[in-house]
Amino acid sequence: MVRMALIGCGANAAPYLAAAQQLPETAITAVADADPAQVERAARTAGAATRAGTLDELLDGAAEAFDAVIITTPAATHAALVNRAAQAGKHALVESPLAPTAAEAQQIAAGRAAGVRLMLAHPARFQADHRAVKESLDDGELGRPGLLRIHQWFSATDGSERSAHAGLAALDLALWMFDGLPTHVYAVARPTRTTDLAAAEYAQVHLGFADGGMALIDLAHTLPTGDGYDSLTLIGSLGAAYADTHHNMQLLYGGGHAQAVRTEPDESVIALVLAEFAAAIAEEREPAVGGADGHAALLVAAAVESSLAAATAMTLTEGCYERA
Amino acid sequence: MSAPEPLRVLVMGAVKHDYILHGMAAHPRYELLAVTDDEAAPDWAHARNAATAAALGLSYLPGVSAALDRFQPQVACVTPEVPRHAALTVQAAEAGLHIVQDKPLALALADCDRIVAAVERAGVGFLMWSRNTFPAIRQAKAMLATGNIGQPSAIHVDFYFAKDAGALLGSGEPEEIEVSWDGLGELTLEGIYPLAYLHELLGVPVRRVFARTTAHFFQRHADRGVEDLGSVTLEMDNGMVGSLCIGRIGEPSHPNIGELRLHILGTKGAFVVAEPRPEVSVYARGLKPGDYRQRRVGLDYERRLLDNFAAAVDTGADTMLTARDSRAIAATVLAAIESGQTGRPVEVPSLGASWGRD
Repeated sequence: MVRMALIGCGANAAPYLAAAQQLPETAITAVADADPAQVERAARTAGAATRAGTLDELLDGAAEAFDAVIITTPAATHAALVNRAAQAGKHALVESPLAPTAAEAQQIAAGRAAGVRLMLAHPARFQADHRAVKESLDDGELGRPGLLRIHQWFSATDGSERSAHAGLAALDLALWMFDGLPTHVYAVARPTRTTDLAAAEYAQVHLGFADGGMALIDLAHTLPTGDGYDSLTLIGSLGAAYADTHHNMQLLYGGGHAQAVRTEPDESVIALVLAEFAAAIAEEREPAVGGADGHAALLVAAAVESSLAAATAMTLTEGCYERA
Repeated sequence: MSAPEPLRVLVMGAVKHDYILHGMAAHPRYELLAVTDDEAAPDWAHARNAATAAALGLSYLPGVSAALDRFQPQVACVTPEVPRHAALTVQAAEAGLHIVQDKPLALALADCDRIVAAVERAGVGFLMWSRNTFPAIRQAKAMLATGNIGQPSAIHVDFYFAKDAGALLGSGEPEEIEVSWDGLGELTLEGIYPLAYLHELLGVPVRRVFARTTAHFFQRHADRGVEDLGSVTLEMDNGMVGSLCIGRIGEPSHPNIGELRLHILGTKGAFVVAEPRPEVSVYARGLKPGDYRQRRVGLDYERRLLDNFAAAVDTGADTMLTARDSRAIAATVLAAIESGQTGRPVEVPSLGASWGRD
């Protein structure tokens, strides 16, 4: 049993609370948030006996009550909380982004003591369809990855964490599929002068990899209120995998044009994330998505923003991106 | 009112694709007269011209000038191998013939410019063959016209053909490359189709591209240094953006002809379009690898294209894909290939601009 402290009890915490209750190998034994009402609600849901306003308070007064932390606070606080947890020897599962900059993420990833685990919560890697594509790739069915095409469209009114950091999550997917950093990065975004990937209404990111592989990522936050759209296609040298909403729709007839209704998988993606975190701790191994992955996604995101600012391509030279 | 007279068509080169010829043979507005070709065409091309002519019940007469004198055609159907498109199309235009041409327009931008100049100087009609009259493309155009998804803002086209092309890259398998293989990359050969969708649906030119290209699947493409897989970022007028993913991805990679889709984003919504629809699925014990399991049905795109051309000839209006339109597409393709080679974004040259690759 891995005992966890939930740091941040707002809207992002709810799926972790639900997931921890599903998993016999995890328990949320402590909770912390600046809002006492949220702390109370989360503690009741989790059955957690230890409550505090901050991570520091938990570490000062009840450090023995938990082995690891789940950080679901706003993005700007992630780096400090991960560092604080690491100093106390606590494993950390943190939502993306790991840090405000790639440099800080690199310091965090490199600065932990041996045996203290750090995992990035990139739920996209754990989606059933994405896992199936990656397994097919890893099994050799698809051959060498050649072209990855991702569409992720959100409602303009979707204020979720997933929507806000969809760019990083999609970049992480691309790096995961190609198992490395792209050599070329080019991006366009709307509104035209936008250079902030997270703030763009629309962004298109084009990546080139060393062995000729390529990825095109299309991110839109412009749909009307309602369902979003996901599509991931991987073309390999021996086969192709197609995973998208378009293939997973049922038709509903209720007058007028038929409506397309998505069939969702049964499993909880966050439960899979949490299970992997717990397993990495129990098995004393690095988790599937580590600090280096968080750093890599931020490094490429910075190259995307440089490409937007310079309106040109960026190329990878000795670990840094420069104008092509 | 009497039906209009059929347009008298001389086929100039019939070595690559026969879909245009079959479309014309079945269309009441067209009368196929004969097949001709440049006398200096390679022997295999003459043999194939003769075979195609025989299959259509036509005569084959090498020597374009003699055929023009003898048959007095109104229309040229230009379908030789790609490197000879420009020469035959310019010859047809200079002879005052309206032209239906197979894709792509030409290999070099200077040749594309020569075609545009010849066609416009002669004042003849020109139709580049396309897939723009497929039902799903017409539906997408109609959907945009309703305004249901607002103003289009981004468009993405997937154009993957699940076809093989000889030995797999690195397999070491020997292969005999067919004499008709022109050694061209997939962007050059097929790029016009998805880019023609953009022309049809948006009607705005591409100004800038960034592309990645590679020979990922087949040895022959790698040996010739041409791409069988590519992805292109497209920047258009009015702030519109788009992308094109294209490849000859191999038979095992799709149960059908390939993944052919459009993702269209608008200011008020989006539309995801599967180009092969309507289709039926047929699964049977006797099917072999490469046989399509999903089959297009109710297809009438050839007649619609040829209707468009005949109407243009009758009225003097532009066709749905003119020489000038096709030149813009060819310029986009060439810019994408250059971008793929240099790793940098490339401006698409406008008509008449000099082009380093020529």
